[in-house]
Amino acid sequence: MASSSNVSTRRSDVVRVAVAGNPNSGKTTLFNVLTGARLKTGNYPGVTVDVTSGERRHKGGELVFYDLPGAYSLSAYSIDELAARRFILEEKPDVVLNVIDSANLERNLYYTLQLRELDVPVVGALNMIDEAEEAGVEIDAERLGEILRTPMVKTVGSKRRGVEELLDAIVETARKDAFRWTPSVYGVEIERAAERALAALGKATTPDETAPTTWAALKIVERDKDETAKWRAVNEGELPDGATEAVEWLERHVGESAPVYFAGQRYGVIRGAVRETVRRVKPPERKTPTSRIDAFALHPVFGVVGFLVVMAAVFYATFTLSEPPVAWLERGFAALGEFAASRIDDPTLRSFVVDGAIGGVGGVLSFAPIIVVLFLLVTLLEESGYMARAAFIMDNVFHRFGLHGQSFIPLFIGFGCTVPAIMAARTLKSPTDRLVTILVSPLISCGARLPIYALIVGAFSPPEYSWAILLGVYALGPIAAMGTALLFRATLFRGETSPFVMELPPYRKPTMSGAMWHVGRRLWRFLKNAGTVIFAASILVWALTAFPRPAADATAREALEQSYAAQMGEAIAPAMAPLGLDWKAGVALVSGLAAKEIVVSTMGVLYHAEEAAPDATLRERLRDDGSFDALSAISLVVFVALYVPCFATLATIRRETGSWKWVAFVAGYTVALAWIAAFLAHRLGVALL
Amino acid sequence: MKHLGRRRRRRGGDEQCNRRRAELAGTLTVADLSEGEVFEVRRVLAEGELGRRLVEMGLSPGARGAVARMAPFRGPVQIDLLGYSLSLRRSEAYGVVVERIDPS
Ligand SMILES: Nc1nc2c(ncn2[C@@H]2O[C@H](COP(=O)(O)OP(=O)(O)OP(=O)(O)O)[C@@H](O)[C@H]2O)c(=O)[nH]1
Ligand SMILES: [Mg+2]
Repeated sequence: MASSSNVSTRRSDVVRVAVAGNPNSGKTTLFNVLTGARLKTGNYPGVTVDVTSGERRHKGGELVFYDLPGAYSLSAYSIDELAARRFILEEKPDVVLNVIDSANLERNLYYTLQLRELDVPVVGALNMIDEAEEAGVEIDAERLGEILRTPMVKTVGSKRRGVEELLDAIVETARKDAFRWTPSVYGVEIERAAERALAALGKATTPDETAPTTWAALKIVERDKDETAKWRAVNEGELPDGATEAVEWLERHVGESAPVYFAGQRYGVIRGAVRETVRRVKPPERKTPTSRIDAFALHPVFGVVGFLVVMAAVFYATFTLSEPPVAWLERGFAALGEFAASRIDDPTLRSFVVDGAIGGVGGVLSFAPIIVVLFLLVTLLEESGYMARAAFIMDNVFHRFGLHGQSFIPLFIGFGCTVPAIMAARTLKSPTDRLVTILVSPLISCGARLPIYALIVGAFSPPEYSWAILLGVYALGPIAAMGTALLFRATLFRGETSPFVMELPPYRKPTMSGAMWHVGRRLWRFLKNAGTVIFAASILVWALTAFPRPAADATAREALEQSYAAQMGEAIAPAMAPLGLDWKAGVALVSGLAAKEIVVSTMGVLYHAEEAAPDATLRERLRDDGSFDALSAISLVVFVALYVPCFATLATIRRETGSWKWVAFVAGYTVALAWIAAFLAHRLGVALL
Repeated sequence: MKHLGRRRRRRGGDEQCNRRRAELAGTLTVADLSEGEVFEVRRVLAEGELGRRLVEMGLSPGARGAVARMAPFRGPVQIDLLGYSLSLRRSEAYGVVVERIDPS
């Protein structure tokens, strides 16, 4: 099975294979096929942002695969690309499985060439060969392999084609030494500059104990940032004598900057190889299905309208499709509570089971269908190829608000869960863009907040308007995110945002099985949470409401009012009062700091403890509760929409930014923002209603 | 003055490309083309990592491409090259000097 790890133990009998290549070339799909893992795939560049390993036996040998983030080049641009580079350079895999999008051969071979320069054994997977053939492109894999001196195997990851041959090639390649790649293929200028640089490096202090390689010289000539920095670090902040001169000599000689010239020479080699090995059996179509869809999806007017419609449709469908099963489950849990109440005699035990366990956990579980539908729709969108289009459409707006077109993808992922959203920000090149995106991502309503909205909106709004209100609540997130980003940009982080350079992949039909698997796993996690964390939280909250034990003749309300929970609630009540919320809502909000589902379970427990029809659902109890009305509903929903999602989010922010400072900052500003927004919404509500 | 300063910060990208454009008066860049036009890359003026990234993504001298789309309000540009679709902001597109090619 797959496990996340960056460190790897070296064992001579296992072959360590890094799965590397351009973004969106199908690396993770192939990795999943090879190892039986089920890592997340998606039809946009930058799905995978860290390294995951998985095992496989083939013909008696053991193979360990590492799924790397995609990269357009070994000269890393963003930190996910850097992770791929570091893995290949520092972990020194036995073989690099270079996954190549055959329909996009030339640009993919750029990375292949860079791997070949490294003299690491490479096996090329000519993946997506189905799409290349569809487009009328025929590739002579054998000949291409001869030219690049590396085996090439045609594969279709999504249909498991070519896997056996690929494994054979990997095992075979692992046994051999890589063929040395010589810089002379890039022309005499680069060759000579590399020789001069190598001589210079040979006389200087080396960053590691070993003698400098031709590769290091090439990187110096290419003005590679990392390699240059490495040499500078051990040579008093300067490149060794002669190395700088070699680069300058090259630039003078060719009249172009070294990186541009070098890339051009690589593309020259690629063009030659492609001319020799690729044959068009039919002329390229002028209008592909993708370009037809894009004519609408990226249209100046329809594109924007379409974008809004797609977003609205996701939430509308989520809410309406899931409403019937949610209602059944609510009824079911209410009936279960009533049944349990009639069977248990001991009052404390009865309260524990009915109010604590069923009221709390059941309250949350009822909303599982919502999560399923939302995740299914989000996954389908991610697999379709629309995400990159949305980024294209949004860039112009986001850019003006201090975000980046590519911030769209992390923020959209945030509608599912904030944790992967924060990680996805790794694809943003500039550290400021990335940090701003991370800081505002908790404002996007994650899936865990949906049960709260469904509960409150379902209880207080006429059914025919619920979805519109829900849409408004969802819109709050992006609006707040843009406003906050603008504010941060104007105060904390000035300076330019990074360039927008993004590939728009062809549309692809999502595979239902993959999507269902992913959704199933999300559901499982939700259920597991309900059984563990949420159960524990429910019991804790129940205990706080049940103790100290009330006098025998106390009514349920009196009992609750003198419980520990009420005593604690009174402490935060002054902060809640301006929002029209009583201490119970306050306790629910505080419990929600741990995880948002707990808000629902806590309300389930708190609002259960009072008199109500024994078989009433939580929504009905809320509606009938004297201390909670439509105005409280407004402030509660607004507050929930904006305050920090959960501990897991804070932990992820700590990991991704490397500092507690930003954790405290996010916790602080989101709570402040939530309070202010809830207060304004409440005041507005009071004025209008 | 204050107003200008704020404007510059917000629209930094455009400012930069305007400057570049002034420098290049007379040269044709991707941003100067219109939808459907075919071009061959001559030079990449964008510097540093952006320049490197642009050529690595295939906008290397000699490469051919076509402008598929120009988003309105100075939004991004979509170009087709090497059999794939690449989008750039207008300010980045000013960094790629091209020559118009007759599509036929
Ligand atoms: N037609 C076709 N589609 C494929 C093939 N392999 C993968 N795909 C699809 O291509 C898309 C990208 O696949 P991923 O496996 O996520 O690509 P990746 O290389 O891991 O992408 P990053 O992690 O973003 O670098 C998904 O929508 C896959 O379903 C293939 O051989 N043929
Ligand atoms: Mg991947």
